[in-house]
Amino acid sequence: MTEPREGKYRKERIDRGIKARSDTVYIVSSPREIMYVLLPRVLPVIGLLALPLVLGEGYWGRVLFLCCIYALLALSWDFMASVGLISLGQAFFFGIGGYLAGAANLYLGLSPLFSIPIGALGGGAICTLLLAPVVRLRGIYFAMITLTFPLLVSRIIEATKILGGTHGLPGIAFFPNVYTAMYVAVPILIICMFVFRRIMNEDYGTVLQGIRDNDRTVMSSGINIYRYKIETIFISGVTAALAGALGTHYWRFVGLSSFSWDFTIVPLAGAILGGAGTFAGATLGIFILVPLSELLREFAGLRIVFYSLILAVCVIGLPEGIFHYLQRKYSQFERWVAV
Amino acid sequence: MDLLIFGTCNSILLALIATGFSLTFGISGVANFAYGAIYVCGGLFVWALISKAGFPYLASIVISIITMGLFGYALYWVFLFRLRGLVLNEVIATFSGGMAILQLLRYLGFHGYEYALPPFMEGSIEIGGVGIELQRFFMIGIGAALVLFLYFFTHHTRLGLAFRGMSQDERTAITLGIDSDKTAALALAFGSSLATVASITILPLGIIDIDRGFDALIFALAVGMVGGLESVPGVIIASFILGFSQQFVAVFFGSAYTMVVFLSAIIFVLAVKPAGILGKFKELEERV
Amino acid sequence: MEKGTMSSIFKKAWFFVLALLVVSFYGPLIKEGGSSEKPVIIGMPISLYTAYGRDHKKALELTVDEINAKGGVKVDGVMRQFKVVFTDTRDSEPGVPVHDAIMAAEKLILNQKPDFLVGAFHRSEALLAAMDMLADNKMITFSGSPQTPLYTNRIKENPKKYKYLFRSAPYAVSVGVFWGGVLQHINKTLGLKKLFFIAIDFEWAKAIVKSFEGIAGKAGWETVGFDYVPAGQADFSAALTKARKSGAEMILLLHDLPEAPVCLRQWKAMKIPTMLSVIWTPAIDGPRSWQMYGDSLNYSIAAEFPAGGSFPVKNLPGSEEWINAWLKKYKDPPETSASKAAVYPAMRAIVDAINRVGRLDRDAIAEAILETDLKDISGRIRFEKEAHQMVISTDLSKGMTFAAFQWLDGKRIVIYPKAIADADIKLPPWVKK
Repeated sequence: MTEPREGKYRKERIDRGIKARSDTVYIVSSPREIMYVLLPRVLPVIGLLALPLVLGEGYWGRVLFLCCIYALLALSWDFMASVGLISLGQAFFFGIGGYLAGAANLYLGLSPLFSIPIGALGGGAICTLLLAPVVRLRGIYFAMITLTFPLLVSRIIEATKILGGTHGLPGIAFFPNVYTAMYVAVPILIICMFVFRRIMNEDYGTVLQGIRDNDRTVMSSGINIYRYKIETIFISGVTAALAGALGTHYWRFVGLSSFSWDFTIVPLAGAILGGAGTFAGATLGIFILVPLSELLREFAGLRIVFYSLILAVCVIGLPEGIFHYLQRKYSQFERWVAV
Repeated sequence: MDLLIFGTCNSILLALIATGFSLTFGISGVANFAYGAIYVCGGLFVWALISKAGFPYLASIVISIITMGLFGYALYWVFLFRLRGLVLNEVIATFSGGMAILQLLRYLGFHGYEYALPPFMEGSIEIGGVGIELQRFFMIGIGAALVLFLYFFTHHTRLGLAFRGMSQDERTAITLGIDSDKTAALALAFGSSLATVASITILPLGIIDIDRGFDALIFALAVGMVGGLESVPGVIIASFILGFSQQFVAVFFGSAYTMVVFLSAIIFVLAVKPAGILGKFKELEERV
Repeated sequence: MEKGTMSSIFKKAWFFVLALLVVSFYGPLIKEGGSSEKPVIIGMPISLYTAYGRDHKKALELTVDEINAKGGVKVDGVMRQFKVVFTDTRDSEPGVPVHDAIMAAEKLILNQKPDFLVGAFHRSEALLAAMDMLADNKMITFSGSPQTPLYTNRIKENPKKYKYLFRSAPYAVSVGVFWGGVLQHINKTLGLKKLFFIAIDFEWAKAIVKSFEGIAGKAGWETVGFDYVPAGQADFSAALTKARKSGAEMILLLHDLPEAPVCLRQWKAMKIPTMLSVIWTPAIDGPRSWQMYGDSLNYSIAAEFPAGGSFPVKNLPGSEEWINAWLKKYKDPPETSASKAAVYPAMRAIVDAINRVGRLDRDAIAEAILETDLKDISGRIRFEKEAHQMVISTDLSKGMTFAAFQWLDGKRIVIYPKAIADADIKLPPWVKK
């Protein structure tokens, strides 16, 4: 496969037969082709929904919940990246959402049913407001600001000792039981994944990709790119803050560690590993990374080394991610043709 | 009075840390966010040479500077070679590489009281009623020398000018015969050596703390952003502004607010004038 | 760059990753379905990366070895041995990743199924956050290093929920009370009265400083100022300058991270004319400190818990047994002044409670622990009924005691409590009085 034969040959990549056939309207005539298209979408959804029952209440059920939280963060990173805003500070959204939900639960006595939406929407709103002034920055400068935001907020909380200061807010209510928790998190994840993909496939998504690729052109077509950027930040922010709110109720605690670098680098690594730009890829990446790292919990300190190395390797060596690779394999094949 | 003295010390400390970073990122346009890791590694390497191999102090310093320089050179070929020009990917790759190194060091247990570098000279003297360690004087001297060196290097030597040319416009530089890859690798090497010089001077004041690596990166970034990444006078001005405000805040508001100063400074500058106080180009690029 | 070779390497890599994924989901399930364990399992979720963590781990292994050598403990009529399992909670890292600590502890509980937790957690933040998780799992827990009074406060408020949680070590209030006694003694003997605190900006230290507010006054001292230093900061010049300006005669340092010796060094270099005392600052109050810092430590005062932990106390017969056993097993002395704390009293209480109850019924044992009354070399092991806190007292018939000592020419001279003191405190030559 890797060795070219004698003479002039080139590698050609074309769609598989079944993919070509299932792209047309005649797909409805063949159950095989319907399965070809549906299976990759339906199977993971069914699998995810069934996992809580399989894993039960034990530790691995907890890990599944953790995967969902990180996957939501990865999705939100991916969405922001689709408009060209690379964020190195998902922990910011996560922490703010978490604190809001925790405060709503602790100080206002609201049950998780209310505090989670408050945390998500409120968190998204606050973060968007704070990021709005710097939304005109591009690329690296935006990334650096997002890097400093979680650090800044956590230092401010530490210094002013509001919201529990260094020891945070313990004693927050848990979900009614572990199964409720998982059956809240998993459907939310699935919904988010599909919603984001839908958005990207609509006109709105086309504008976003345009902004990512060449924003001056979009600007000169009369579209207000700042409005789109701010809306994107809001949507991503709500998703990440939602993850934060879920996390708060799961750990029964929110504190400065909610702003930790873990919550930025794991989604980042997962999204890049799985394939930036495809939301399913981000989820896939997380579902590989997080269980692996739980397995490596014995080597506690090495886990961050592990994430960081994966991130570095992926950025350097495999920028397209696993999902793109899988997608390519699934729908296309390669062969040598004579020139 | 002690505010003045410790403020100056602090500022020179910042300038020391920032020069290496400024050389690579600001002046040469090569992102090296593994700076913190190199800073700590430099110090640890000297420590290892002194305690484990029994080398004399001065020799260890020289060896360490050269080795870290080589390490920086190698770093380019491993991490950055394929990412030239994609600034964001460079940042992510080097940042995670740096984090990996730092966490690995922490995992291996390089965290304790015995990891400290001895000061160049023990003792302290009094100025205006305030006792200052002699090490801090060395720091001031070396810091000043380093900044001057940086200025002359980048403005009056071929290699320095090549660095600047490369970041201004890579293609033109190539057409003028400057080998982009080799120059960038050298920029990284020099930056790493400067980082080691900084860490050797500063670490004897405390202990070799791995968390300082991350802080060093933030300090360098803050100084660079505030002063303008490619301008050496900017580095000086920014370090003094940040150094004094940090000391001021520590004395009057409590030490907890010092990092807040840095981080707010980065955000403020990026929001208002992204190029920094004395920075000129990149203004068009980073604002839309 | 050769895309061809790269992608084949990556192909192999992905297969490996996928295989690992499968294993990671199913592997532990296979491992878990084992038979019930014979030994009584003691779990220790602690930050193995700190000096205190390492000491506690060694202390647990040493104690368990001794108990097992004597036959173990009798459960349901059968002698069973103890087994220890550890997990690194990383909770002493900067930023205290509390989530991670809780997850680590939870994994230990769910996978290894310990019967007791001893020396749990290093930071107050992590302990407080984990309380609910521990209560839900009905895990009898003796906390380790965390000093916060909020732990005992919450137990007091909700004794039924937290009936399984205990503390077998000193905490902010007991430290405050003890040091109040030390300060009072210093005030009476040397006449000093102006106190300045330099503390690390963590919950435990703030709690201790706060507990001094009432105590210092009664001991004849005046708090002339304090400064909190953020974790990771290695420059104490601002704090020391403040101390000098305030006219302090004694600086009390509370700092358990490796930057603490910098304070000592700067204090010496800046020639601040005060005495220096430290609380829970292993860089300075640990057995190895003199080797590392030499005579800048001279005249400094620190304390150890329990008395006789890392060096034998003349007036406490039998106190040399622990340190001798330690040196025999580990060759090097402990790193901190709390090497016998938390773990040793907890294990004694556990063994005693199991022997009294006879079976591993968590509710019965939790109640039995509250009735503990054991004579020990450093006093008596008893617990406060409401707060589940071990009694710490300078009265050896009521509780366990600290020993305060002064570093003099490389030796630690016990100066307080009077019942076990070696000698009186000496005033350093640079403090004018």
